[in-house]
Amino acid sequence: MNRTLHILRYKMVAISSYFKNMNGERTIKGLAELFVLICFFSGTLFFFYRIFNYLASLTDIGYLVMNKIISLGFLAIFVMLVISNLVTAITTLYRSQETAYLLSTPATYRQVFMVKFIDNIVFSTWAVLALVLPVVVAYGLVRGFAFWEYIFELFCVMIPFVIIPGCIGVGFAIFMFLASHKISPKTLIHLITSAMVLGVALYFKLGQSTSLTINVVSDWRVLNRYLSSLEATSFAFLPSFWVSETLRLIAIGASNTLFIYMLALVSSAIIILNAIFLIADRFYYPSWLASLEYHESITQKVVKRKRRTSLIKHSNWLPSDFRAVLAKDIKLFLREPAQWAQFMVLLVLLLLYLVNLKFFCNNVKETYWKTFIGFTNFAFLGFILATISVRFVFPTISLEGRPFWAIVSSPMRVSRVYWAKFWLAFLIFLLISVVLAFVSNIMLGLQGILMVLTFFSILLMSMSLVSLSVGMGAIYPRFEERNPVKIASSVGGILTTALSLTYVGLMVVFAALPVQKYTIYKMDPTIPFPTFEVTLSFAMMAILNLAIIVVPLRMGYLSLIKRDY
Amino acid sequence: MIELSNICKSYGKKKAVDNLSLSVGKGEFFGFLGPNGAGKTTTIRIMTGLLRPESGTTKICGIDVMKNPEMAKMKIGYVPDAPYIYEKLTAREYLEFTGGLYNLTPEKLKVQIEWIFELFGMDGWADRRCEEYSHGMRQKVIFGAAFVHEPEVLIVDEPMVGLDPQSMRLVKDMLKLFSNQGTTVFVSTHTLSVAEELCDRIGIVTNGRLAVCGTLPELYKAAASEGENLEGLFLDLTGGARPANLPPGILI
Repeated sequence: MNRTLHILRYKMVAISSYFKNMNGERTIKGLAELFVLICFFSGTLFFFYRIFNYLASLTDIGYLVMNKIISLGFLAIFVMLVISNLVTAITTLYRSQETAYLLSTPATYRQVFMVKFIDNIVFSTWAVLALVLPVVVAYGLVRGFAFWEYIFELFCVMIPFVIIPGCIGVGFAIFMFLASHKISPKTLIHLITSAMVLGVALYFKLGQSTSLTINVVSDWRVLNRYLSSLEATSFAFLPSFWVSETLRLIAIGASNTLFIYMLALVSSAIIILNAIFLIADRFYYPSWLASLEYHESITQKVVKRKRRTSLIKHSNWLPSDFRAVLAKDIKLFLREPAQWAQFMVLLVLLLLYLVNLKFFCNNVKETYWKTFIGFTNFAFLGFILATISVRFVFPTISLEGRPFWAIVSSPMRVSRVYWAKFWLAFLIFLLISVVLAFVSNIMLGLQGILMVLTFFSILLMSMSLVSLSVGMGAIYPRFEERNPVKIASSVGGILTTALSLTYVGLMVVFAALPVQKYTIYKMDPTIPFPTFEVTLSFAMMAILNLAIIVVPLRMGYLSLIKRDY
Repeated sequence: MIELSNICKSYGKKKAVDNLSLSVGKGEFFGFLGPNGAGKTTTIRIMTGLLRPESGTTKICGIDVMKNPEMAKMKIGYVPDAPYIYEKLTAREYLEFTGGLYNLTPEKLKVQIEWIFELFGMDGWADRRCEEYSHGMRQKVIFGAAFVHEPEVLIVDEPMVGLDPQSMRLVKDMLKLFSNQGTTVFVSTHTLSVAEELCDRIGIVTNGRLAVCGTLPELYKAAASEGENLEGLFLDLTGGARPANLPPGILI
């Protein structure tokens, strides 16, 4: 135990040394980053405060919707934390040079595992916690939490909550390398991913049968259906449900039941933590050896690969250097299971969400509720697109890694690599966005201005989010890091997340004004068409998107060409 | 001090180490030679407890590495082929960290660190972060960390790779210094001149097997009997080809 603390102590010394040795330029950059983070925190807090406040004004049904949003959010976070802990464990617990170094010292396997396990949870979780915190605070402000209740929520609820998916993810990683003699990690990641997707699909399907019913007035029935379709997220044995319940129970002052959920979280975290240490005592070192042997064996194996990049090969219309970069990026993405497995999980979750939309939109006729659901969907899709862009587009420049010199020293200009990355990401994003916009519009049965607005807004969002992630990825590259999850949760990554979500929030606000006026106009045609509001909104959107597309791309480009390699 | 008995280790179908046995005595400077992929790093990883052999035993100072890895590692100072260093720590902090892992008392650690700084002429750099160091300076820190707990056995994997002549001289001097102090030094290299200059005894490994092992005079004698020099013997044993098609006068 002493050795574990000793290692952790020196890790803290290394971190504090970074801050102690900040020069003028770094201090200014650090302060600017801090400012953006504070702005993001305040912005998210304000945004969710307004939403929750509005929902609270809808009396009973508002609280139900609020709780459903929280519950659905925590379910998504739980699934993502399991996957990001698994992906991060591959580098942190296995491929890291530090792990090999520590294992060569007299530190015991358990001590090394403990240090790397803490690293893993911190790397995989801190960015998520930073995003969740303002939402929880906003909820607390609306529901009137006392100060100690925030402290309680953070230490007694959130910390046990993140430990559980951390242990599950690391457990998967240990099992994956242990089994690598029989099944390759690549196949196993496919299996785990498929199992998780199947699990979520079944879960939603089963949840559909247990409908929540509130037999009240006709308008509420619409929302009733919406809530029923989200009932699946209220599965009582999931830690995400326990977290959302603690928030709800604090709000209504039901301390007895609250402590039951808190105890469920804490005891589960303790049990699973003990289980993972028992597993690690026995299997971590063998699994580390297996990972080393697996790595050695694949380097000695002559692999006959199918030509998967025929699409690129036949794209003769593209310049050859451009094509070379695209082909390399596609190959590297397809050959890195951790990358595309997570991408697939996100896409499938998105697909399930879209399919789910049809369950609550079939019979919605009321314009108000249609608009309400349409807008919720728009904001949610924006959030998903922002998540995908930060997770997959932001790390692309950094993932060039040390071999970037090969490109820089070639006759190909850095700017062309930069644009190749932008266009590849943009085309993929555009495809996803078109499908999302099209399917969700059909599922929601949206028509008129709302359909046009959401369709074009989503397309515009895809371009802006890609520009932001590519640009920020070039401003904050981490060439020494190979783990995309770690790159995405670096300071640059969290700043990009902050900016992306702020952008999505502003888009929702700018779109809300004309839609609200238009809805009122549709309900009461005697009111004149809101020309001024619609024009103003579109102008604001245009300025915002122009800024988000041009500024980060330009700054990223300048940063990349000025850099020494 | 180092005893390897019938060590076998495979990666898939390839045998990386094939029934290798070796013994290195106290204070001996042993050179482990072989071409790339001969099994040198795998053998060293087994000796340092980073890998487990499929069969055979490894003992360091009489301690079985597999049965008692922590105790065995206390006796070893290890410099891998690609050493890991905490960039954000200063040399002093890094040595304090390493010493702590080997359970050195603060008093003993302080004395050791001052001795290492004085030995390597690092006084002016002791409190600067490792990321600011030149390659040679980093090597000093890495060797200092490997020696801070005064190991009885120093194991160094490919110490000369990527070094300029000055740094190579420095590493050679450090290794000699440790050896002169009575430490058993085990160095893997594929540079013949390094082995010839430093080692008391040399083992040549090829395809995971120890092909020859002996003192320098013994190896010279064996080479002469074959009409070769040491390089010729090495190439013959390891299956290396001479550039026979080059015009006369080019061959060394």
